[in-house]
Amino acid sequence: MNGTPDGIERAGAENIDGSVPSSTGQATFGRGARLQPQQGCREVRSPMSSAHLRVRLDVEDVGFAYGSSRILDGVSASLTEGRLLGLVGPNGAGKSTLLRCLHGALRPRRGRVLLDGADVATLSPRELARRIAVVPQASSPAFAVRVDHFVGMGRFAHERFFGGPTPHDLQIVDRALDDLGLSSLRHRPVDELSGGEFRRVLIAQALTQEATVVLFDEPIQQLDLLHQLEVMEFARAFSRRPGCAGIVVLHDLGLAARFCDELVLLHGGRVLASGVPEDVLTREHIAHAYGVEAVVERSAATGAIEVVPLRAAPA
Amino acid sequence: MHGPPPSRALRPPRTWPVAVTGGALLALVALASVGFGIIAVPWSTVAGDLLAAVGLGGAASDDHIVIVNLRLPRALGASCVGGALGTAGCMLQALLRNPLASPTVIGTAQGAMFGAVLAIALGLSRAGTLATSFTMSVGAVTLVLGMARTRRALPVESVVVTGMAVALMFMALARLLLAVTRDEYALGRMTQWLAGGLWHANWDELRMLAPLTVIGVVVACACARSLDLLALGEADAHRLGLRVRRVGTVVLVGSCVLTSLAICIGGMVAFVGLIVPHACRRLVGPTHAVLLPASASLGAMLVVVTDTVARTAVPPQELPLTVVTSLVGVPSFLVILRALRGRRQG
Repeated sequence: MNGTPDGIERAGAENIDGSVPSSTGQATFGRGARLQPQQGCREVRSPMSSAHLRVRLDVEDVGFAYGSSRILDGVSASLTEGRLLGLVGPNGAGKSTLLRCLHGALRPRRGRVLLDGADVATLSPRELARRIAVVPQASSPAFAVRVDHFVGMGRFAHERFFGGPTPHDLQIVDRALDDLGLSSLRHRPVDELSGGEFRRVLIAQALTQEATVVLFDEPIQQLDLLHQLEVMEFARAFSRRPGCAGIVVLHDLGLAARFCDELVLLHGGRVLASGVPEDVLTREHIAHAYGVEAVVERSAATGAIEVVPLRAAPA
Repeated sequence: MHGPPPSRALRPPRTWPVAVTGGALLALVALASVGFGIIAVPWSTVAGDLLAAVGLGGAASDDHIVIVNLRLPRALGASCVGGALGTAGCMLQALLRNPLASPTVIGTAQGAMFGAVLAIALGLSRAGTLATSFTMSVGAVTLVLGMARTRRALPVESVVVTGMAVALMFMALARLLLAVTRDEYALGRMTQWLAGGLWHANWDELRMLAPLTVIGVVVACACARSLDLLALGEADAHRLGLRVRRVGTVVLVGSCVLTSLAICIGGMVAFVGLIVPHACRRLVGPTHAVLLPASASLGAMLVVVTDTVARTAVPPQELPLTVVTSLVGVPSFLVILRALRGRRQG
């Protein structure tokens, strides 16, 4: 539709924009993750480090509809290793649907999603779970499972069918619990946790999958300021790990601009803008996508741009 | 104990210790039940007779026939019925993510019941009865899920409501069959089957059905980890790497197999599949690696005990098994409902 190959190249070129601080905080998790170069995956050359940066996820002209209501209409984007990509847009723009297409929970009606060059639709759920982890918006276990057992279910895709978790699996669970400061809660039933605690449990569970791509679906919803910062810092630190990358769906444009290396602004199932936050979060784009008149200014404290909504934009 | 622990994460509980403990307790309960009856047999005699029966010496007593050919198969049959229903209930509750699900609540038991009664009316063989019963059980669950499923979800409430409707329908079909059957002998058997009971338990029948039940329970235990994931919900199970549709179908069919086995052995037995998994979740926690063997053994013990009560409470009359289980079951069901409502509000 809207010039697919061109769109991908454009996104790829913006990935390597020099303004992005590269590999600062190293994540303390996912130490066991290993990566073999996959055949058939694209690489882009970064002018900063002259290292080859692999494209981990390639979204090619993806379209999706529930029945006759079209949700996604020709979305293209790509995620390069070492980057945290923010998916922003108004309610109903298709963010969550796109996220579901990315990890194979939904099959696109049109286009395809490539993970390291392989079509996601051809990978088994087990294979996918080892390579893409998802931190869902919410989860409601039917029965009150204990925290460590719940987190340990993240190892399912690595376990053999018989035999259950090995000592190695348990170590990974342990590390994930430690990394998220959940060690003291390990014996609590998950239904007794606070919202912030349960969010960390979901992140810990995703970490035990040892996937190198993590998708965060509105991870800071209903969290207080401290937890919002912690989760965002975590997401960024994870994406900085060698070979890893992350995608985060966000409503808070300020945090998106501050923590993400690049943004994709969805509107009505299409990509309205993509690239570095400065290029995406412009007054015009915000007025168009959200119908809100806003001031975009650079914060003296963080150095990132901030969006101050003023009023509904005149139609 | 004092060394530095290499890993602090607690190993998820293992299946076999619970299975062994449950099995041992069940054996004790079953042997104890064999001593009870119109002819009271001291347990030392029971033990001697059993040893003699398996050829380990000792002389068989006068009550040898009663013990080995009547009461022992009864205890074994009761164990199979309870074990199968406990396991099937556990599987359905995980799959439907609903602590109210059970073979009798969602209609698979009534489907199986109708199938068994139909097979008797048609004069089918034992294997034929099992097959018909299983088919009808699958038919019932297909009907329930087909009607309850909306385009994108499977709402828990509508599964329970639809299940109850389908259960009533199959019960009505069974009664209809009863009304039109002329054959006195078949009629008698059908009536007794509807009431549930183990009076007809015999080695011939159990030689085929008991091993199948054991296999069913073992296979269910092997799928424990998948059931853990299914209980998280379809989306979560998928994102963690489970083939939800495929495994869900296997679990559903497996629960139908176990239900129809239970029905073919003991007729209609209500509430075991509902209460037992619920009680076991309190006892051993919601991890299916231990919940399944616990439910199987507790279910088995419960039915052995209720069957003993059913055959000894008002001698020489025998109470229908489902009457006894329901008298225990209905209050428990209401207690569970109350507890659930309390949790939702609190």
